Amino acid sequence: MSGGSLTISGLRKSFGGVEALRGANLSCAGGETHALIGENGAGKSTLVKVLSGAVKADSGEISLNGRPFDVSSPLEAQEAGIATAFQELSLIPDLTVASNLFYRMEPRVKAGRIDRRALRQAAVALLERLGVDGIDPGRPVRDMSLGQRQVLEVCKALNRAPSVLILDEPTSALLPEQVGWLFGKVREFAQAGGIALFISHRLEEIESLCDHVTVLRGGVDVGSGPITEMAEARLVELMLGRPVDRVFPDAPDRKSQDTICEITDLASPPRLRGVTMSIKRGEIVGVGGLQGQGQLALFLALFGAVRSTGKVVVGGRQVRLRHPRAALDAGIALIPEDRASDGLCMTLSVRDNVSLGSLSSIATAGFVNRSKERAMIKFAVSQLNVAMRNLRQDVAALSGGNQQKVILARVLAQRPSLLLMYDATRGVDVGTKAEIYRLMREQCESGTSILFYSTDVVELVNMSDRVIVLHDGQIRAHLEGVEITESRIVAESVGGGLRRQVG
Amino acid sequence: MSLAPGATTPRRAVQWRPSLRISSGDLPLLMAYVYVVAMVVAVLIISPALLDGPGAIGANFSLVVPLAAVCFGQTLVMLTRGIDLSVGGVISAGSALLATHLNAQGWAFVPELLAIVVLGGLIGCLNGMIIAYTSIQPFIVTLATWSIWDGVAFGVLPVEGGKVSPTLINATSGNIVGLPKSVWIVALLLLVWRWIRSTRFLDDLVAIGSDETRARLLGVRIPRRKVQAYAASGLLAALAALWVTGQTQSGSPDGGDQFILASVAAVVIGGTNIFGGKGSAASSTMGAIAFLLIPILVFALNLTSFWGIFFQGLILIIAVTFNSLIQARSRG
Amino acid sequence: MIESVADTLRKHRSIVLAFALAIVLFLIGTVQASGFASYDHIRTVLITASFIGLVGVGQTFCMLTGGIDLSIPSNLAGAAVLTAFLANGSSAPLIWIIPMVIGFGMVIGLINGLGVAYAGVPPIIMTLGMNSAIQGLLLIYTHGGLASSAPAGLVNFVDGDTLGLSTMLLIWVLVALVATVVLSLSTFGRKLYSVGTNASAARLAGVNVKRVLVIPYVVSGAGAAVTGVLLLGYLGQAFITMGDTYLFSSAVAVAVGGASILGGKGHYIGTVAGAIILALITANLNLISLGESAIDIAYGVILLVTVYLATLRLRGANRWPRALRRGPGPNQTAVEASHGDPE
Repeated sequence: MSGGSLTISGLRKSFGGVEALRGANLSCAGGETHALIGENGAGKSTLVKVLSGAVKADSGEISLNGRPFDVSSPLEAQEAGIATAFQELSLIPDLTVASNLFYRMEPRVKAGRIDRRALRQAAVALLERLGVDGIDPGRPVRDMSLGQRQVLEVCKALNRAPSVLILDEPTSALLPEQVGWLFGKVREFAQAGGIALFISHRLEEIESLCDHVTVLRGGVDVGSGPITEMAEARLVELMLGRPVDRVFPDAPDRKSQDTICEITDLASPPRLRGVTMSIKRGEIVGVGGLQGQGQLALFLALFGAVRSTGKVVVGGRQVRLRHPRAALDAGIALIPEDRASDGLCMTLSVRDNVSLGSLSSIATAGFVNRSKERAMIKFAVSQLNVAMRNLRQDVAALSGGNQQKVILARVLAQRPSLLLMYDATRGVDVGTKAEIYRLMREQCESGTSILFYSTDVVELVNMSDRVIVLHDGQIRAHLEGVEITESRIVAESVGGGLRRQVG
Repeated sequence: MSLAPGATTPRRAVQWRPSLRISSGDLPLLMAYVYVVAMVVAVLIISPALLDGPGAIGANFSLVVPLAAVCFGQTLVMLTRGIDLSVGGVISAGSALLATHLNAQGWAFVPELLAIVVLGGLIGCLNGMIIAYTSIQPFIVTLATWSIWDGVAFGVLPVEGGKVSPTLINATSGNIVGLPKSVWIVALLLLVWRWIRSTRFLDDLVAIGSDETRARLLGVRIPRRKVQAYAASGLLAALAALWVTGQTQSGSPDGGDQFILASVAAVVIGGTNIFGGKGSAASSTMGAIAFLLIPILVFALNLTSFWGIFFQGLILIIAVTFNSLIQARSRG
Repeated sequence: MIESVADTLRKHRSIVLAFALAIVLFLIGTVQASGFASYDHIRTVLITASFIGLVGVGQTFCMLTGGIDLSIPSNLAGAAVLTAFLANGSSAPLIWIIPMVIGFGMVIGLINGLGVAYAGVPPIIMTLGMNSAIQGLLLIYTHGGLASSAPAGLVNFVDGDTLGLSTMLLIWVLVALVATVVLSLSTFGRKLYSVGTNASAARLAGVNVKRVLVIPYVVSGAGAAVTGVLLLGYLGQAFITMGDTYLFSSAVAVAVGGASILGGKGHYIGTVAGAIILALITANLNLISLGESAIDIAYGVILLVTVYLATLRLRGANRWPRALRRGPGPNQTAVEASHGDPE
């Protein structure tokens, strides 16, 4: 059947002083479905980037099917036989589905032109062969939903008939039967002799699909073996490096009754269709659901970063959320999704970033009052224990965890009464995560409320006082107290879909 | 429900209801045709004599040739979310050279003609390489090279005039089979566009402009395509230089500058998305015709020609504001 | 924590280098010609630099936000021509005319700024179109742009000395002080840098990006108008093409001074150095009697080289692939508000 193999040894990669991979090893044989798991920030995505040619490793050896694998671009990796379904997707919005699926494999007429009609037919045939219905390959990818794009990304990779198929978090927006379809395709691929490398932080998926697993932590592999020999508890322990209960702080007993925020029919087409809820002082409300169901729109709408309709009342007063400034003035603050692009001004100093949102409170007659600023920043930074050389340092030089803390410092300096945290612990090491959880509890003690979204269900379960699950832009479920369990959240996330699709 | 392992009946496990959504991105590209028709009609109503007969059309159409060529290149470049300001320098330098050192007669002119074309291509190549391999933005790079080549033009030909090859003059005037050469050339450009539209070259340019990071992951050879796009732009600008110099029968050390505004305006009016990802050289050519009709309309309305310059600037502002409002990129 | 002197010098490395380069150019000039270091010559060079520097204020602000103002030439010429016409053609005193003319310049800048900030038009295209439109209006108003002469009062003012220093230099020093203070010490300055570095992050931090983005263009419009009026006094006459060289020279001065074209890094002091450098280069080239041709080529090369060096500086400091994905594209303005489909 297979003589294929993929071996990685001693892989190292640093990004501007931050070591993402510190000598990682991986070994897969043909016909394997190999899981690669680890916390955010453990090095999984960097490993994938190296294999898929998106970045070049600093040192280490990779051999594919017995031959050295050394590529400098995604194209070369593809030509070497590795096809990747990227987490952030590699589909071009303005090209058609067909063009994306068959890139570099388009049917040609003479003189180098692409035969668009044949291309479309080929795409139709491909989708049919793979069992995907309801997508018109002549449409641009821009018109496709996130779930459709995730499926197409996998189809594109399969179409290359690679020897190694890498799937990086391919299921975050998929309904269970779509996940089942995906697993079927991966199994077919492996049975035909290919190597499937499956990256996910959903242990139940790994256990259902994969036969081998490698755990990454802190840039190295800390454990590896057949899935049958690795119990879930052991896997979690390897991933975290410490038992689960030490990471999450205890929830306090207090129960606050006063409502600080009332949201009525908040909608922001097309993703957010109407949410009505209330948030009490000092409580943590978790937001769950599959990716792409309107969670981001909810957060951005509450922060005034996108247009919305509906009514939002904070502290008894209605707020017109036309601009983030209005939200901030009303006491709502956002920790954004993507540090680098939305959260920080990378080439500015720590000082400039932290004071950015609160300039009016440290200014005298339009000029920055240096001593007020120093005082505010020193307080914020010491509270959060940010590791840096001095305040004037560029934030780009800090580690991911510390960068996140700078954002927190900035946001907390704005003294919010409602803190919106969107996937705030993504890409952050475990130590910093624990600090962030501790900080969240502290904020709640002092009366701040938190609305937080996380793709990590364990986090939601351990940190939330209440959980709302979004589906298709609306609240599908509202869980309190003992109802908040992993299985319940997952069940509500995928719920109704089953009923609709059968037939 | 997920398929149990070993099931033999293949089922449509993944389905969606197909959605009906009309792409709004195509509308601006079609509007250019409407503008041209509207303007021609306006001119004919106000002052029919202006566009009366093949002579008048020929004379006016010859202005379209160089602009259509430059727009073609500008469209390619703008598809990648870039811009090429150096066309001004290429045309100026080309024109200057053609009026001084490269003005041989007869067959001796042919290698000189090729030299101009190659020069334009090389200038574009250089632009493309700087843009592809450094993170300097295209507008700065081409602003700088515009200055450099304008400087070269002034060095070669300090004042307008010079002596242009009679072969070139002959080649750029007259008719072929009853139609003015200008019409044939523009038709040829449109045919070339028709052909290029279905190549992977163009898909790649669209990919780069649509989402450059993802394009790289997809496997697009980004540096190569950028170099090709800018080289094409330079080459087409060189062709424009040949035409302009032949038509005006004299060299001009800064004659290329007006083409910068004109080509950008024509591309914008034509509806190509200045933020990349969607565009058409055919629509840009229509945009060029519309742009060139502005001074004619002004003349028909009996205003001083300076109003033409004003309106050309004004219409660029209006068109680009309009386009920016509808076409601003949302996160991919 | 107090920064050491070495740290400060390192951080503003590019400005220090720029001044060093200026000194080197000066020395080269003195070697070439004996009169180079004379009081009169230095004065002339500095005055030439001051004109570039005054236009450079606005250009600095624009480039800090990742934009550029290409409408400076006709704005400048327009202010000069308008002043000359109004002064010669009516009995209105200069004291009324000049502020009005500057006001017009600000209106032009305001339109530019509104287009860039609120409609999301790429600055290069917006200001390119504006340049042409203003030029057209100017030609219409002057019926073809014949030169007209400057009012005597203005000429005397500009050519003369105030407090022992050339008036032009004094004005430049004052403007430089104001610009530097605004950029370094004011809240607006902080907001400007944040918008130029990462507009979407600035927006999410609560900065009103659109409002901030309009101002550089207004400043540039005012600056161009002021420079036009002063240039009118200096040259003694106004003509349509008098502003043309200032397009490149302002942009190059800003770049040489170390402003990152990607926005967000740079300072007006750097532009001051850049303006002096360009004036010295022109002076040196004049010594070897190379004309406009060489200057154009020199500007282009210098622009490329200095911007390239600036990008090297940035690349070493950080890697931000995702930010680049959503950051300003080549044509793009700093307006990156997340409208539209969030997912």
